Amino acid sequence: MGVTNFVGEAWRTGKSIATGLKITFREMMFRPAITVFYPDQRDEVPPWFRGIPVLKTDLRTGEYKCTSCMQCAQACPVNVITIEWHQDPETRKKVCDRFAIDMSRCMLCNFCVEACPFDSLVMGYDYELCKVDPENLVFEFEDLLRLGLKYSSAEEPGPKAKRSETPPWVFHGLTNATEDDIQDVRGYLGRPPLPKGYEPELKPQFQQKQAEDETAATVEPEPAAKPAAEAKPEAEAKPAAAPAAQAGSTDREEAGQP
Amino acid sequence: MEWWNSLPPTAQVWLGGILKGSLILVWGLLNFAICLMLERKISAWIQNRVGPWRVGLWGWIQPIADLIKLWVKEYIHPNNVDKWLYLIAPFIGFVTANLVWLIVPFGDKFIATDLEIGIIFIAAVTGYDVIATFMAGWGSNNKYSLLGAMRGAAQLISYEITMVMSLIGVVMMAGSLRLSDIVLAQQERGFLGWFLFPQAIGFIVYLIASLAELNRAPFDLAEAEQELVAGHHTEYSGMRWAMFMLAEYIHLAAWSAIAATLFLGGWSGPTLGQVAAGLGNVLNGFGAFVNPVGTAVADWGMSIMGSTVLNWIAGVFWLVLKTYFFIFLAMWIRWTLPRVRIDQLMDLGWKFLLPVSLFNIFLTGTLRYVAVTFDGLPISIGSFTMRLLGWWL
Ligand code: SF4
Ligand code: SF4
Repeated sequence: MGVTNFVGEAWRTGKSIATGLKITFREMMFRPAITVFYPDQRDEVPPWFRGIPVLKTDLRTGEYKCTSCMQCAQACPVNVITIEWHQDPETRKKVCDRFAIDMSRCMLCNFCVEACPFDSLVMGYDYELCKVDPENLVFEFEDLLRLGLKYSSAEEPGPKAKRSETPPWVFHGLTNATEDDIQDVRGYLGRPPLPKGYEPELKPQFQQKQAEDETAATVEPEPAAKPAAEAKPEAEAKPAAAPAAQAGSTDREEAGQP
Repeated sequence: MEWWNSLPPTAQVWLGGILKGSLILVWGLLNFAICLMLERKISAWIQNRVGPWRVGLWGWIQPIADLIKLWVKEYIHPNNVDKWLYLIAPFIGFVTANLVWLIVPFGDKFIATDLEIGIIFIAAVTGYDVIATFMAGWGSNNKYSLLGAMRGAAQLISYEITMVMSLIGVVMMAGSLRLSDIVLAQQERGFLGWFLFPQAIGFIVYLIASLAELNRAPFDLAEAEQELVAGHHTEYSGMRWAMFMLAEYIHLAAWSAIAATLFLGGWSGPTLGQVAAGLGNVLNGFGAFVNPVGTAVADWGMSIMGSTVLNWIAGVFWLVLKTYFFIFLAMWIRWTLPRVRIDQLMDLGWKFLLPVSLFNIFLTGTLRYVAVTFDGLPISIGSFTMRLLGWWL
């Protein structure tokens, strides 16, 4: 190794070290910290976040959507879903007695959500599942339903519970369930399927819709297909459309100018 | 002082020693707390984090909390360790790290022991560090500890030579091994007459060799946590483990103080009196429009310029400033560079740094000879070149 080689090597080493030092100095001085102060602040979880699997409720009738079909318990790779049920002798429907997920062993794999044919399970956003006693990590039916209220929505009444259009492997965001729905002040939610022919006492926000549906159905069948729920998004879409229109007009004006 | 002089000489020696020792211990621990916090904060800033945050304002009391935690932790004493080596090793490392502070001058005659052989003392004391490392590694009776200790010993011994060689240039320029003489020699060279500029090569070699001496990244092979669990202190816990940490950081601070003394002029810097006098001069417009305010400030500066205590305070201030500059540099390097391999380390030490430091000695000697021989001669290349060379050396 000649002297030139020696000096060149030293020079290259020094240069690369200086480059590295420059980068770390920039990071140190000019980049803000990305830390989220966890208990005080919380980061937004991404829409595909998989927290605890929770059970949904039909906010229109207040029935839980689970039919105790055991598909999720079969699908669970670690066998942590326990379901006990009996058959209601009158309605011949299964009534769920116990639905428990042992979160100390659940691996948040989403298989149960994919397996559920009635769109009853959803991966929630709740991730603070820390308990002093591991036995408290067994989430019972009520806990799962209460956690699931945030993700529940009012379903269209129909002869059969429909699978939602969103495939279950596309993770659900929060629905527009109001604070009133989640509070469940009347102890209304999470009840077993109602007997045949029984009309549920609807919550106020859904009563309005029901009435409109009925009047629409009696007057003319054409707009009946457009329930009030769809009218609301339209109203919401209006202000959003207004700036777009403005933007379009300004575009035109600009285009019109030489 | 009356009271002090009335004591018998033996008592003076013992009392003075105990006093100085305690002061140095406290100073070392203070530096440890600050260095530990700085290390964590700087690593956090480099990695875009905030670092410790909860204990005290911005987490600045965290090191005390850490020390209390380590203090009350269980001392695990493995079965098959070599008892005495295992027990003594951490304390030897701690003591040697503190010993370096003994010879650091904080100001004019403000120094614990003004040894004539200061630099040799540094080399000797850092040599003890090898013993502590190896005692810990051998005594722990653990393969990781032993591997770490062997690496540490090889590294420390080879870099010790380089480090001392890189200091010879400074010694040649100052003409003394005594640290206070080296500081005074730098002061004599005038404004910014630091040995950093004429001894740039020696400085860089010293910087690299000291990082290796201190077992700091990128040379922290002795405790490479990815390969050897924690190197030579794998088997330690509680306060004995903390002793290694203390030793590491106190050593870092002491090394930085030595580097500041040798290359950045140590405690020399403008004192409060000089600053006030200069400020008064500026306010007076350098004599152009003398006004009472400027004169008062300048007079006040002149009057406190001779105060020993104030000059000592200024000396401590400048020394601490320069020391922390080096500490920052070491931490900055640590969080930038990846660890080198053991063969790269040996290559760097023996094949690069040692020849370069020898070349530095040769260069210093030659240039000094030239400068001394031709000093004042009317050479046709111009007096400016000679004067530059004269300032340089
Ligand atoms: S997420 Fe996976 S592990 Fe957890 S309950 Fe569902 S299927 Fe079982
Ligand atoms: S698969 Fe769905 S409907 Fe069937 S038991 Fe599980 S949660 Fe209930």
